[in-house]
Amino acid sequence: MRFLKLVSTLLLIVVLAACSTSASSGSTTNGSDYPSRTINITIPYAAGGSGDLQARIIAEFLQKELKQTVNVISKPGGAGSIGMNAVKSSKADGYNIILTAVGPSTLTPNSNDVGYTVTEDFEQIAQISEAPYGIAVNESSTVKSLDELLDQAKNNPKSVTYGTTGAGLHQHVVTSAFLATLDGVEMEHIPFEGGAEAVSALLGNHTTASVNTVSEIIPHNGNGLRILAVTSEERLEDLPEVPTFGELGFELIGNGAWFGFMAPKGTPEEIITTLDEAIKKALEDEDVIAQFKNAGLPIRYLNSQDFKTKVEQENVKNAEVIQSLK
Amino acid sequence: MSTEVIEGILYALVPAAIIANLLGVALGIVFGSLPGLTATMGIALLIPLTFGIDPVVAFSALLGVYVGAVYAGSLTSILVGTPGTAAAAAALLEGPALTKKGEAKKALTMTTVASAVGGLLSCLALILIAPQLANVALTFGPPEYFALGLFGISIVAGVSGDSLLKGLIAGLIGFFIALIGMDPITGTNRFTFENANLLNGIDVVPALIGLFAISEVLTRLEGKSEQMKARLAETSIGMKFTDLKKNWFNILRSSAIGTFIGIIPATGSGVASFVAYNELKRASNEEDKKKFGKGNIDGIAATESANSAVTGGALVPLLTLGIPGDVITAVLLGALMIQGLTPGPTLFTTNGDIIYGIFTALIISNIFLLILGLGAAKVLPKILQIPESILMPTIVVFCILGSYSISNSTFDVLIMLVFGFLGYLLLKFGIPLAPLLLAMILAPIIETNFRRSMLLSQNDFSIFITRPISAVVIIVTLFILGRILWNEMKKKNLKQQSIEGES
Repeated sequence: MRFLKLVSTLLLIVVLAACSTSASSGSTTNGSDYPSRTINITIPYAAGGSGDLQARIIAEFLQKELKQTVNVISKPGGAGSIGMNAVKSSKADGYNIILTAVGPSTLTPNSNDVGYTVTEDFEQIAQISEAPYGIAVNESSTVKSLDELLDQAKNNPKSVTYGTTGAGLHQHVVTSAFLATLDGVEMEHIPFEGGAEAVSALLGNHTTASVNTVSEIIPHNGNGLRILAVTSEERLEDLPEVPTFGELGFELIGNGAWFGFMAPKGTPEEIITTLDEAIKKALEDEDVIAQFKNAGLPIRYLNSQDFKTKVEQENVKNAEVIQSLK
Repeated sequence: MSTEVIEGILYALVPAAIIANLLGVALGIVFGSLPGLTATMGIALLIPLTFGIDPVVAFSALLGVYVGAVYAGSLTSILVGTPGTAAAAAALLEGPALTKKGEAKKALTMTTVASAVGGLLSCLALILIAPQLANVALTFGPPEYFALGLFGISIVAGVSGDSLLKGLIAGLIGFFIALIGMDPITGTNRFTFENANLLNGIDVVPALIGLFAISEVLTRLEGKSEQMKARLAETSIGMKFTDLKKNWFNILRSSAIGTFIGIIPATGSGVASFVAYNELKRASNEEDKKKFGKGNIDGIAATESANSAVTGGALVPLLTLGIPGDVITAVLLGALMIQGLTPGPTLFTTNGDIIYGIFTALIISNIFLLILGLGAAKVLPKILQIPESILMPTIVVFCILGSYSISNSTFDVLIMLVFGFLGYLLLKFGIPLAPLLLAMILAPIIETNFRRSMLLSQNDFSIFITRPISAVVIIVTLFILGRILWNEMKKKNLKQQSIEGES
């Protein structure tokens, strides 16, 4: 009996010691031994969506690269603000990061009082993807180019409609800002619940045009729909004959739906750099590239500094548009 | 039969695909029957595992989960009055009453058979006429959705029980709850009280768990509902072949309704089972109508075949147009794309073999569903042997875990508890809960599509009657509403006459 007691006491000491060392190593904040425990990636979206998918692909790579468990936690709701607030209020030690997107970062906090500002409460780690939008019409339409669509809208005010993913979402913000720069062009916005509904309304000829993420309309191009222009800076590999808005002489306030990693404000720079480098490496990995390509998600890496600048600029521009929409 | 078809069928028959399918259905049944774990979650969890796996094997597993989960949502509805999904709520109309009568096994067997038949019939529709059906889906624009939603509201009368007025009260409460959150057209906040948790509105699933499960537990706490143990001996009553025989047309009609509603994107299985139930009720004679709501096995046959038939229907727009009709098919769309398959008009010509593999996998899933389900129907009623003092707290624990796990949100747990209390109060006043839920599901369809239609027509109401589909649906709805009012008046007159006669 005494022997058993001795063994269990020893065991207890060992366990306690192990715990205290891991606890103390976890508490070093300069990040020299980062990461020493599980990293949690929050997504402000429901499981199963494109945000979840990207997080899981990257998490799988980071797990191998950083030799630590990487979890993906879904916190949807509140137009993305629930997930953002959860990460904002967690410890700034690099173990709680978020894979967020344009909506929760620069749209929601500008239209609602949700308790955070992306530039003040978050550190930008890296942008990973940016999916451009395309504007399309039904193939049976007489409209063959963006100019013709705009002319039609000019000649028949309010009777030309365009569908998007939803009210106040990026597609809507970018398009309405674009239309506001044009003289006398009025198009009626029809918000749908998600991109798929908008595409099916256009396929069924219920709307005149639709602004969608290109991956949603490419499969129908020349087979029900006609894509008139894309929002990316350069022409797309899959759509070599479709011009960009820039080529046609129009300037946009956003080039597409981006996703990027952020951490709570005050996360040590060293940790941000470690994560940024690991994410960059992930996006250069062949398997990761193949998975992104199959899922129709264009990789577009921006490092911490460039991402930060971009978020700052878009935040200002989007805030203006959202105010004008109100 | 072309070689593509045969190749496809063979893909789905390799041992790996069969095993994946079986495990998928089993996992789906577990996910579906536990409140809060949804088919969407099950599929989302499996997707990362399908990277680099043969597409037909991957889809055998994913479709297995889909079919299993849609079916199993009703099992807990019937046994303990705890629906796991909105689709399973319709099973509450007859299920718990059957269990109380000691016919749990019979109800579960009917659920299984009706689900499998509904699933297989919708598969058949998917295989034979998918491209034609897809075009029907496209003719549905905002005015048509609005008309369909309006038609759905006429069901409130069918699920109101004895008092139409109380049903309407419940429906209006549901409508009000659906208004909470961001305005779908302008993005303005409604009744959110600056609480970010309310921006996206009240999630139907936690509300439903609270409304039905917690209220039931609270009612039982009063000790008013009879002890379960007394009914134990009778739970062994099985389903007879005559039950099935007399329901063949009912199942056929309900499956057609389910398939059709599945094809129309953004309506969903919740609506399908209520419509099927209502149609069954309308088709019955006055004598049979009185049996509804008191444990009628025919009702179960209708709701369950309809909600399982949605599976095949929902795959029609997904595979032929690349348009997912609900959250589950949206996740499946992601899974297809990861496999390098782009759903849409070209998929049938470029990857015909895989499409036929997927069709075969879906058929196999429904067969496994029948086998596993019949086993479950034997075993599951034993849950009722657990003393109520243990079973009820366990249900509460599952409700809390379930409502938390939907979006990892403690706010949803709060919502669930508030709705539990609301449900209890409403039951006390004799207000039926089904119309409330139905209104919560239909209100967003009606509101957003009404307003979209008005935007499209520049505020001209004639858009609803100049388009053929919406005109027909609206006229039918008005006719049904007229009849409901007429019947009410007649009932009132009869009552008055009998009172006068007595005095």
